[in-house]
Amino acid sequence: MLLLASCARELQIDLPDEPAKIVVVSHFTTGLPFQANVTLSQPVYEIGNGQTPQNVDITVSNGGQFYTRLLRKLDDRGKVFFESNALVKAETPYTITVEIGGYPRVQATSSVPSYKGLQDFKIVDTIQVENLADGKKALRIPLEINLPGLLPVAGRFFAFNLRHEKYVYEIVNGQKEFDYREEASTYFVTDGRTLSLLNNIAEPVVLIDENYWNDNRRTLRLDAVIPFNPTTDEVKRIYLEWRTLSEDFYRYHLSLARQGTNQPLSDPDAVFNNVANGYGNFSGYAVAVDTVNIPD
Amino acid sequence: MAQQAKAFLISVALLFTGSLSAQNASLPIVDFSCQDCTPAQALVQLARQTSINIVFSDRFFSQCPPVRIALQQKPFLQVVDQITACAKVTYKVIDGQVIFFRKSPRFTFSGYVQDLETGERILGASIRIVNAQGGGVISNEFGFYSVRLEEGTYNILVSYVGYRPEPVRLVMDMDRFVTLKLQPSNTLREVVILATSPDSAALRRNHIPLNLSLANLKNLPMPGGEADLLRQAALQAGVQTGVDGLGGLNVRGGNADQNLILLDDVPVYNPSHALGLFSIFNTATISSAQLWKGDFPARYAGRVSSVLDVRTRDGNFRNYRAQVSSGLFATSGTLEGPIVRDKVSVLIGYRNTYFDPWVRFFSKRGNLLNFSGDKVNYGFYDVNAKLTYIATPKDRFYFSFYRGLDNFQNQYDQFLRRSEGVYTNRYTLTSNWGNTIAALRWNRVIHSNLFSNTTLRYSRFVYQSTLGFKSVLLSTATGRETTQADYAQLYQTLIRDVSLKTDFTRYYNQNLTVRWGGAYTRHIFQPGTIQVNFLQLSQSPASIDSLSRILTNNELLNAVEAETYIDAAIKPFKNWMIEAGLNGSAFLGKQANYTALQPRFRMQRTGAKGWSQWVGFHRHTQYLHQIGSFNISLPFELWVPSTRKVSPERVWQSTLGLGWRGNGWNGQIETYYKYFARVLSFIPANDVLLNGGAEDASGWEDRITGGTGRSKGVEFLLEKNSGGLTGSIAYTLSESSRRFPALNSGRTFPFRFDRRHDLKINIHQRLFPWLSADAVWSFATGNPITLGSVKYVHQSPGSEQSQVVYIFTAVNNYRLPLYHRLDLALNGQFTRGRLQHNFQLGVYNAYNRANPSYILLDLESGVKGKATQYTLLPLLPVFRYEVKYQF
Repeated sequence: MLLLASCARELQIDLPDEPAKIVVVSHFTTGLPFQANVTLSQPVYEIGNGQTPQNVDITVSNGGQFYTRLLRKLDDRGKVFFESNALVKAETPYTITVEIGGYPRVQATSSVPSYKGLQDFKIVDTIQVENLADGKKALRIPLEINLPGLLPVAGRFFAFNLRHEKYVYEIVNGQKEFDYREEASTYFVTDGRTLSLLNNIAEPVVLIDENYWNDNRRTLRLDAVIPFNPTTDEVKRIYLEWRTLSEDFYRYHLSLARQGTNQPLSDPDAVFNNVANGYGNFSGYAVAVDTVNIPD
Repeated sequence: MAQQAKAFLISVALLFTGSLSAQNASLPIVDFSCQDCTPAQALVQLARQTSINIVFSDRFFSQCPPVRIALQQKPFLQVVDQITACAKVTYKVIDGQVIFFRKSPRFTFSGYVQDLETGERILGASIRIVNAQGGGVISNEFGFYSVRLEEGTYNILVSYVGYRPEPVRLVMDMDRFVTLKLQPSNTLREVVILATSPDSAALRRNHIPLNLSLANLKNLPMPGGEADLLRQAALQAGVQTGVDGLGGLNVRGGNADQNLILLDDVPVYNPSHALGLFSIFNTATISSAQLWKGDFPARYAGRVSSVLDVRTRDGNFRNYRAQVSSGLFATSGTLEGPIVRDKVSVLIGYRNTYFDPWVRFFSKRGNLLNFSGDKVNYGFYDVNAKLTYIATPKDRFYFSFYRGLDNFQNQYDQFLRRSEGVYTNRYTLTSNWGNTIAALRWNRVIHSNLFSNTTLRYSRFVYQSTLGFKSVLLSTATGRETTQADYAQLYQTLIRDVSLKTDFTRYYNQNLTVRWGGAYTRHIFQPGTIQVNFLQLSQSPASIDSLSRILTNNELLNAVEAETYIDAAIKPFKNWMIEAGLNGSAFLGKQANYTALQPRFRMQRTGAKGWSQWVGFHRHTQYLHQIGSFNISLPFELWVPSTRKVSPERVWQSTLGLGWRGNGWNGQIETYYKYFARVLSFIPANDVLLNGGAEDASGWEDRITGGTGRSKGVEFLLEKNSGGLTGSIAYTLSESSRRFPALNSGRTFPFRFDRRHDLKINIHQRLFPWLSADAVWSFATGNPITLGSVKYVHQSPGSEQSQVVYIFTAVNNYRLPLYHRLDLALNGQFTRGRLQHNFQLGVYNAYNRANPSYILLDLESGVKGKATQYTLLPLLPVFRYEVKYQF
């Protein structure tokens, strides 16, 4: 309505010149090598995304001592990233240092937090089969994720991801024959409060707002919704990836999630940044995976 | 802060103690005895013994029996008291002499002040005792006055601006209840109600509250000629709004929801129409409007920043009268008159808009409607009604009612030709919102110096929107129509109050008035219910995900708020005034009970030649909060109660001021410091359902974050109230900030409405007796907004998901350009027979300043600093014609 009642015109704003800085994005967990993407920041009006510069030197130290160096590599799609040979150890503070000629050296420190394990992950009620409008069906599977009773008062930083595995059959002469196995992200529905405290982030997990646990809750209740073709598909199991996040990880991604709500007249939030002299995020997380099998 | 307050109170106490002690310090301790002597003889003996002059008349003690006294080592005055105990006398120690006076009987002079022609009560009228030193009283908000006088004959002068001063000779030999009637000084009295007269100014001796002059209000140039009370309030120093009124009032760095806005004592939850362009107050029905900028007395509670107390008129008790006013945006009509002459009056007001052409015009001008065949409608209406019944001279009953409604509709069709046929997609949005307010009031004069006011109150605010999408396919193959998708969403948020409030005022004497009372309120909240009906034939996994956005938040929340207060206005010495009070309140909400004590203290000294100084300390607590994505008090934002997780907002405010009044001028400088010990901000959900203004309220308690704030400033005001040229200059130098651990990385940032400089100049020049010119120029520092200047892409190695990250180095890190605007108007009035005509002709935003309401950076242009600015109100004509007819 505001838009309807207002007049618009172009304007030139004297934006401050911000020099380009090094951007490092690196999330790490125990037992895996460090990986990082490094780019340069750009003015907001610049078209296109920042490219990985040349002559990047990335090292990781532990307690002031050199630990490993990240080497330039290409992923499956030909995109540059950096990876170490050494593996990450649990609960060890690491400092990453990135140097590129002509730019201020950047540093950030984080560690993998102590893992706060799942108590259990289970189906808690009857699985419903719902009819979809196009003749397909959907399984509605009531799930419960239970945490142990003693959560810390502060720092309850968690994220999760649901995926499901499905066997797809081919009908040959009226008989079902296994064709291939399919794994995909699982959609879910939940109550309004829970949903409003879950944040989609640019990582393969859903971030849980720490306020979710304010009521001394220990349980996250979700209904997984998995569409399937009753003739050819069998949903076999659901995987849960449960992450315990460092505060650096949590604050950074929560602030990015809030960026999505920037509306005219509303207050956006500043992005959390733990990279000194630069931008991005260097943060650890602990991870565990659990599975529930779907009964036939 | 607490330490400062304590130190201040102690110093005041010492000051008073010192002055009293010094008076009697020179009087001796005496041994005195006297057997069977008259009091007169004893006093003479005491005077000789102590060489202290004692002045009295024998007649004072003519009825007294002889006394027997034998006292040793007693203070002089204690001996005097014992000697004269039998007589009705009093004495003063002046320059070392003891001077006796006869203690006259005191009587109460009380009653109402009312308009001679209409019978309506006049509030704020001055009743000055001419032959008493500086004595007098001001009629209260119901026109009642009460003053204690000694036996004798007095000359009283009753006055009020716009009325002929009325001298009254009064013989006080008994309690008298008198209805004082004032004759309007001319036929245009309606336009001068509530300006401050020199007489009442002398009596008031106080610079609060600010009386918003309805005379000025009708002359001020405003959009379309629509006289608007909130816009007038925003012309005061320390009061700001968003650009062009958007988002409500912000008083001394407070949020818009922190203003207690009362209509006939009933809280109003949404005081604006059209997102803040117009207020809900139909000026033809208003009797008075008073604004407290934070230093409000204990009888007002529930908000932490300000109070705007608006009272409606009673209606004419003598004759029927009609008024029609028509402007560019709205037409209003008022009818008032006696149902039973001098007994029952009625007042009915109605206002309706014809805003649609303007919405369409500006929408298309700004190329903001891109759809052909679109339908956009917006309008609002207000209904005011008031019934007043004078049951007895000391009992009056009032019933007042208000209902207002905004309606916005937008509909457009989209046609898509595809191989399978033609799709007709229809999008519809309908939003309605408004207040319903009612008050049933009983005024009773219990005793000549005890006034009571009991009110049953009802207030309800509802916002509703329906959002629809329907897609119909006309098949090429079959020629038949089939529905492809049908989506309907209903959203509602409401707050409803029912409360009982009672107040008592006791006028002990000219130096002490005490008010006390209490209120009990039951609140019901429904913060954001969403119901969705959804049908889509070609449902896919993606649309299953959209099902997860279907929310129902149908919880009804109940809360109870109870409060009690006591307010005292004390004049401890000549020229000193202390207003002290205490409000105690309790709030019982969802799994949470809160209590608060809110002390209020203000002291003013009025010196010679019109100078005055004042100081004040106030504490305020707020249990209700308005939350939403915008945090600027838009109608679809939610009113919610304090709960276990959301504790009340609390504010401390201190003020220090210097003022001067005289020769038709009024000047003041006031500094304030305001500490928001707890203030709230709402963090929107990840996906805000903005369609239809629906605010995703799910989990709202967990999305509120608490913080602190500070606001400080200096306000300058210079007014000229007499002569052909009148006007005011109001300037505020201020700074306001917020700090939330969960926002801006915990760093302090400027408040959204922080404006370093804010200047308003208002000039009224009388050109002819029937014509005047008015000009208003506003200038202010631009509001802060948050703009990013740097971006990067967040993408983890190997991940397909990425997000462009805009770096906001800080919240509210950029300021909109300077705000300034000039409004001009000519106001005319003339009378022909029983018809009285008023007109206003002018221009709003005369030099068409494009003041930006907000700015969006163009992130795709490749051009540095390219942005789009949105302006709400460009140059607009001002026109209003008003005609009144008395039957």
